[in-house]
Amino acid sequence: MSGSLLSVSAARRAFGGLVAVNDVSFEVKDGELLGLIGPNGSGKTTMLNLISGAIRPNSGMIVLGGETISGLPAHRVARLGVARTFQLVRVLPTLSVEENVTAGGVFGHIRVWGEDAHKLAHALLERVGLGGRAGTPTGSLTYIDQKRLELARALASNPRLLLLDEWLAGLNPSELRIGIQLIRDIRNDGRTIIMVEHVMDAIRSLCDRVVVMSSGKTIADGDVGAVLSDPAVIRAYLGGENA
Amino acid sequence: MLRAEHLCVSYGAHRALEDISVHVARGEICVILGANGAGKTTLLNAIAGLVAPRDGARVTIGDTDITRAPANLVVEAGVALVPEGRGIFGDLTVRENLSLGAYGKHARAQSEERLKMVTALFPRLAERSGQVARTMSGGEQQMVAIGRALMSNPHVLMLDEPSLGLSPLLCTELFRSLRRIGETGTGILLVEQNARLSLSIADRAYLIENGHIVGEGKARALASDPAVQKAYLGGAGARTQRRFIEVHEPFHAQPARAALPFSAADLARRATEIQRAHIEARRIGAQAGAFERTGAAARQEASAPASPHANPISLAAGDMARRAAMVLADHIAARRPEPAPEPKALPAPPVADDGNLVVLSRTSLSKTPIGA
Ligand SMILES: Nc1ncnc2c1ncn2[C@@H]1O[C@H](COP(=O)(O)OP(=O)(O)OP(=O)(O)O)[C@@H](O)[C@H]1O
Ligand SMILES: [Mg+2]
Repeated sequence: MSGSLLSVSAARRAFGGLVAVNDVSFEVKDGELLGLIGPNGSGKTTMLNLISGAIRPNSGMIVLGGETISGLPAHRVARLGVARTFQLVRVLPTLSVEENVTAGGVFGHIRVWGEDAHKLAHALLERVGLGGRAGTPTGSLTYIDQKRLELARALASNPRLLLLDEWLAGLNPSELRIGIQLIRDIRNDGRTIIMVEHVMDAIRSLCDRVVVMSSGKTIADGDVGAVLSDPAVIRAYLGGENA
Repeated sequence: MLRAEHLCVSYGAHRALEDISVHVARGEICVILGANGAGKTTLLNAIAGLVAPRDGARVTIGDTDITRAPANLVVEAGVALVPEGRGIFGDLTVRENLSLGAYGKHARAQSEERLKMVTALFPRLAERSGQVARTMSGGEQQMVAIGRALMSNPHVLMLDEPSLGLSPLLCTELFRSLRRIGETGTGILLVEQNARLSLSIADRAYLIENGHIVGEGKARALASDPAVQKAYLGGAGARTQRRFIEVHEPFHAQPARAALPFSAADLARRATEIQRAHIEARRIGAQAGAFERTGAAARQEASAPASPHANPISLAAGDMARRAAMVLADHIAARRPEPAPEPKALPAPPVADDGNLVVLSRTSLSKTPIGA
């Protein structure tokens, strides 16, 4: 353990005159669970997009397990073991729940087919809380269930690095507890995780380390307790009452 | 002020709401707490006219009966909804999204003041007033959705998970503002997973489970009730054995899209055409002329009888699309001096980026309720 799995160096991405990610650098160790937090519009989703290959950086470098992935198209990055869930859910609405999961397995890191894919899909659906719903059309799932489905799909590709963009948003406290435990279990499987989240209870109970972005720049990087009590982080992000 | 009685809603064999009654007084803040799938969104949608309750239901706002009224009439009566999953016009700019919220007569009068309030709450919306909404971050889009509803100056404001995706700082500020909005006399009906924060600003709360109301009371009393703390506030030792979800309500408005009858789909397409043409017209700085024509056509179709086979949900969808077309046409006609190019035909219906049908706030109305 504890070698670096992902290394982001001076990654930069602008949209017109707006620099959404402004020379950001950080490392993620193998097996680590890193929290990425920051105000709305600070560049967190854009950062995940740069890692997953959904968009290209203007400059800077991103290296996964010794291989440079910045500039590679998303499907190549997926093959190298990066999977994600989206803040604004993207399931394939014409497919059934099971087919969505199997699709993840087919395009991912380690590919599975046939009966194995079927078994894997059922096991993963059970795991995310969608057991018995394999045949349901995805169009009839609630928002939260669609997010569960996205996670199952991401796991089907057996990723080394899992990117979660506000996967826990919108859960009530009891549901949140189950969701947190699920992420902890996934991490204990040996996967490395970067989670973007505004739910501080989740960040506190799950993350080893936290990186804070503000206006495209990193303003803190360190141990959860220290970062969440950093005055700059409180001012920019947490506000007095939530600190 | 808002009174909803004996609401029952079924999706096929599944009963999503079982005889639910709620009311919101003038200036009162009521929060609805419950697990995902308990029926909270369905409740707001039933009041908003997006799903039809069964016989025996009665929904009134002041003296106006809005039971099973189409969504546009509900909005006109002064009930605004910030739907789950945002529902904004992705192709329009922030400024345009906000001004659509202030379309109604009642709202227009005070729109300057409202805009000040909205941009004080969300300064980002002022900074980015020209940004196309779909390119905004998740939380920024949520600001647009809430901002638009606030612009409509409603009698009752219904919000479905407004804190979703907002930073802790903004979340606290939003709830503070809701308190202030309540103080101006607006009633607020709030669905929210952040039970602690919402109970702290609410006057009253309803607890809902499996489509039933299982509790109701003063927010302060509920916040200190051990059973409530355990179930909704994540109190110590509250390890529940419950599965993720016991009841499944369909993702808001999606069944409507799937079942869109032909004519409604057509109107939906037209609304998108108008949107796009509008943007294009502004972008090339050229003239806009076809808007009146398209708006008139939409208006004509609005008075055509609906298909007897169309189900109530798809009617609501078609209705929204139609409304979008009319409102946009009016809106544009009001502010546009020159004529414009022919809008291009585009196949997609006006769905928001998250797949939801767009829902407008207070709008101009067709005098003929759809399906009447
Ligand atoms: N395609 C685009 N065009 C213009 N601006 C964009 C585009 N994509 C993102 N932005 C802007 O870049 C900034 C960063 O966006 P990003 O989605 O990364 O924020 P975020 O940190 O994920 O925020 P949130 O917590 O609200 O999800 C935002 O201000 C957003 O409006
Ligand atoms: Mg984001």
